[in-house]
Amino acid sequence: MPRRANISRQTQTALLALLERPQEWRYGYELMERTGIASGTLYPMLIRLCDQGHLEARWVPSSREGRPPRHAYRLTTAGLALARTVRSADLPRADFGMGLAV
Amino acid sequence: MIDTTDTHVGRLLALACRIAPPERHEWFAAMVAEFDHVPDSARGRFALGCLLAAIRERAISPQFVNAAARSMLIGGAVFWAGLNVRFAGRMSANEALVPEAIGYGTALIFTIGALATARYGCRATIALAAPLMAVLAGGCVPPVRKRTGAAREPYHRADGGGSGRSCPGGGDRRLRCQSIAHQAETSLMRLPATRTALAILAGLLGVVHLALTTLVYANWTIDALWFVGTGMAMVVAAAANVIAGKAPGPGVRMSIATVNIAMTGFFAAAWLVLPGPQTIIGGLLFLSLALCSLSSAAGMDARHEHPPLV
Repeated sequence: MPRRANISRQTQTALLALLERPQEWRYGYELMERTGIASGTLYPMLIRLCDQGHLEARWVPSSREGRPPRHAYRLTTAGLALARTVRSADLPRADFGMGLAV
Repeated sequence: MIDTTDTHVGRLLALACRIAPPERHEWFAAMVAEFDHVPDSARGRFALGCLLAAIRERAISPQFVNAAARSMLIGGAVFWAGLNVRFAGRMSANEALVPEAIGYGTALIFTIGALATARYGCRATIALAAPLMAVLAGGCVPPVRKRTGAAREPYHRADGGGSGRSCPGGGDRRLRCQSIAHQAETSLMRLPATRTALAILAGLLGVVHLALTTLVYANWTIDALWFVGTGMAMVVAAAANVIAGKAPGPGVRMSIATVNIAMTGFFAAAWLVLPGPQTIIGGLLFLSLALCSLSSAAGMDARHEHPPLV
């Protein structure tokens, strides 16, 4: 049996949220709403995932007129492989729902 | 880009951007951009989270850790130099030329070290401190090795009968037993060696204390008597620590531990009237000796409770 990566539950939650629609670019606040993870935890986690090559980021134009571009995130091939090793059953709650979007 | 200075929440976010390390500025720019899409009711918590993230990123940033270590080294060196200047000033008042010169010399060395660390970083500290540590260690190791190393028979012998012990069973089990016993023996041997080295240093400090009496006091007064008494107490306590290494009784070990604790208390009390480097060194030496004595006594008790395989 292959050795599973030692990743926190919150990272697993974020990976599963990103795995839902792997081809789409997701925004930080959108992920916060989806996973219920606070900004103070989510952004450092995204930074680590990006440093490790599991996540790619890019600036995309805002949908609102005259607003600054937003930073969007998507899993890389390595990130997809990592996310697929995470099982929903391992998490305390499978449905993420609306959480603490801060 | 949005203006983050018009509200308290905006100021919080701007503070986060200032705190964040330079290599993460893009990420905090992303947070500022995202802030524009956060509902008003959640903006405060979002900004607070960003601030916490900035503090966390700053704390683990290599540049910050390096700068903090450098600042601590510089501060410690300057503090130590100041204490030595103060000590030298006191010796100057007593016309004690040799300790005064030692004090100013030490202060000069540590000032140079602080300046070099400020200019060239931690590698300068290592380059300057390594020879100093080597000289100090070189002075301490030979007498310790002479007493503990050469005189003892090596534990491992080809016939497996080192120190007269034997293991039940043969082959691999015997080798395993020997290895475990050897590790335990080695760890127990290190403690007396450390204690002896510390005791020698404490004894030397006591001898220096005694030798300084004639320089510090011109006449035989009650103060001079106390000064001599302190030096003698240090020499006697250090000698007791060296002799206690040969005495196996737990009572002796506890008595020596008590002596060392009392000497530590004495130096702590001395700090109130004489806050100089010599008091710190003496106190640290006897505190270390007290800890060694207590560890040794505890180790011997455990050894009596769980004797090795015979």
